[in-house]
Amino acid sequence: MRAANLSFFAISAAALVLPLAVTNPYYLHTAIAMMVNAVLALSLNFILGYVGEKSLGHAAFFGIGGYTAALLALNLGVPAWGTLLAGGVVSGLFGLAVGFPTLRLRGPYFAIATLGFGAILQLIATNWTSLTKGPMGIPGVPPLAFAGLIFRNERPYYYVALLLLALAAYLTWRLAHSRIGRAFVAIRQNFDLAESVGIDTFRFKLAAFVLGTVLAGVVGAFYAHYTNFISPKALESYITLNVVTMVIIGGEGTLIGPILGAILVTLLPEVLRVAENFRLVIFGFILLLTIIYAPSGIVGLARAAWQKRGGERLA
Amino acid sequence: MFWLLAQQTLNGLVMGLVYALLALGLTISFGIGRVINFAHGELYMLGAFFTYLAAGRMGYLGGIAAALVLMAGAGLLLDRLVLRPLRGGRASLWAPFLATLAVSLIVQNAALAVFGPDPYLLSSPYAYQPLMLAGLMLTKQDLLIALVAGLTTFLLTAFIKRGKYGLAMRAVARDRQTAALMGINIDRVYILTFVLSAMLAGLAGALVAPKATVDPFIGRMALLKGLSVVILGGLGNIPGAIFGGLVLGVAEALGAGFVSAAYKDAVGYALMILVLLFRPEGLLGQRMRRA
Repeated sequence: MRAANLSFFAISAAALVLPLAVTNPYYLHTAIAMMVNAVLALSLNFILGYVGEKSLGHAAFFGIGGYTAALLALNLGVPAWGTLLAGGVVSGLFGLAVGFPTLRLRGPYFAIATLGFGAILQLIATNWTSLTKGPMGIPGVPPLAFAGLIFRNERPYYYVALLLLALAAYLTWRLAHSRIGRAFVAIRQNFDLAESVGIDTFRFKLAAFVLGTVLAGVVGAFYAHYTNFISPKALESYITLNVVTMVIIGGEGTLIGPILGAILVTLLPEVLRVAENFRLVIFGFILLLTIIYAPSGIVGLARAAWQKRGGERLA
Repeated sequence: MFWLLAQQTLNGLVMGLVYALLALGLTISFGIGRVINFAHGELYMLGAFFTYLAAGRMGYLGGIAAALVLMAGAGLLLDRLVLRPLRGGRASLWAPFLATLAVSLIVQNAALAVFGPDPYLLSSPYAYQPLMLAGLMLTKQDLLIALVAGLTTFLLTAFIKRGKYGLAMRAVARDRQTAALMGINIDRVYILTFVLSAMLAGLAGALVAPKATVDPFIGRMALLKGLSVVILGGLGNIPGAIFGGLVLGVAEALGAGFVSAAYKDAVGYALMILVLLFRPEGLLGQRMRRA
């Protein structure tokens, strides 16, 4: 795996120096959006990819993080980095509350409950105007700052996003190579067998879900600071669909898959600008074809191609 | 106070019958077809749009008939093009589910590209004709909804309970391998299931449209309502879907009348979460073994 290590360092180095070479704010913004999406995709990947439970309210946790940060910063004057932490904690608590009753049940209950949860939160964010200012959203979320320096352009945000992405990737990597990660995969592959060898499936599922929701909350809080704005649009089901698409297209239950998926899903709409009206239709077809013909996503295709050429079997 | 209660209950029962139609379609796709159909709301939306398009020439009732024929086609396409390729082999619940999610994305945005985001008005000759019924107010449209939805529900239940193909559907629902070994053409059962399911969703859309407006996004709410009902009644449970539909309809109407109209739609989710917490097998389901 020498080549893999080498390319990993090359990509990391490129990611570090990119903002020094690229000054066009549009490109930097796209890069930040890409990394935010990648963190979201990785956070969903814990439960959707590794454990195999379909969470369909992921945008809600992103939104909870955003609203928590906005409200704490504006109403209580909590400093910026505390809000990121708080966004994660509050989102994780909601994750615990949703996951606790529903992850015990076998069948599609968890998927349906998370879908309903997302819808409820959007209703609340839209209608509880005294707290959330309703559909207009909350403007003026203060920018992040570090050592007295206020972040005024894209560059510092780029590095924070990169840091979050590195954190998410590290957590995924650590998890995949630990006893816990192997338990996750065992649960996905054969639930009954996992239980019979003594894996407490419920606790592991819940842990994966809460971890994912904490991460989604943190990145939601980051995004609210970055755009200085949060509105019920952040909780829309179409964002959840986007994130699910990233994980599926890239390859669920892998580290690189959701990141590739996030890059693709962020860039594709920009490329498909020409077909503005049919953009999401094309998107849907890509998703559908992936599910039918390449259920393990890009990573699965790459693995199959690698093995066909006589390459060593990859784990 | 009493009149408000009675009036809202009546309104709720009418909507409840529509929810029952929606949920019946969802529950047979789950119970028999083994698919949680995420595109069910889009089928509802298509039903409303097809009726709108056909009603211009054929009138409202003729429009519904034409829409039902088109919906049967939509159900057939859904089964043949999307779900069939995913059947067999390792039977996972998730691949078909995600596929219907993609279908929902495609259909919703295609409708958006064709019809635009603005709402359309589907006019029904019955929409503004009030009837008084023992002091309670009802439009002729409400009466039509109640009659058609009630009759459809009755016929479908009878068909599944007594019909030859109904028996085959129940057999496939219970154990598809044994059903196949007993000589049931399960492929045909799946087609029948999704054709029926799409027609039920389309009928619900066509019936409600004159009471509201039609736009490419009405399917989302319809799906959530349908899912809440299916959970209320118990997944795959046909009497449960009907009962759950009526419960949700009445609960929403009472919630809107006595608590807050803005949170009317939250009533369904709240009920759903309560049921998930305390009785996940549904109000009418058999007691379930906890994992």
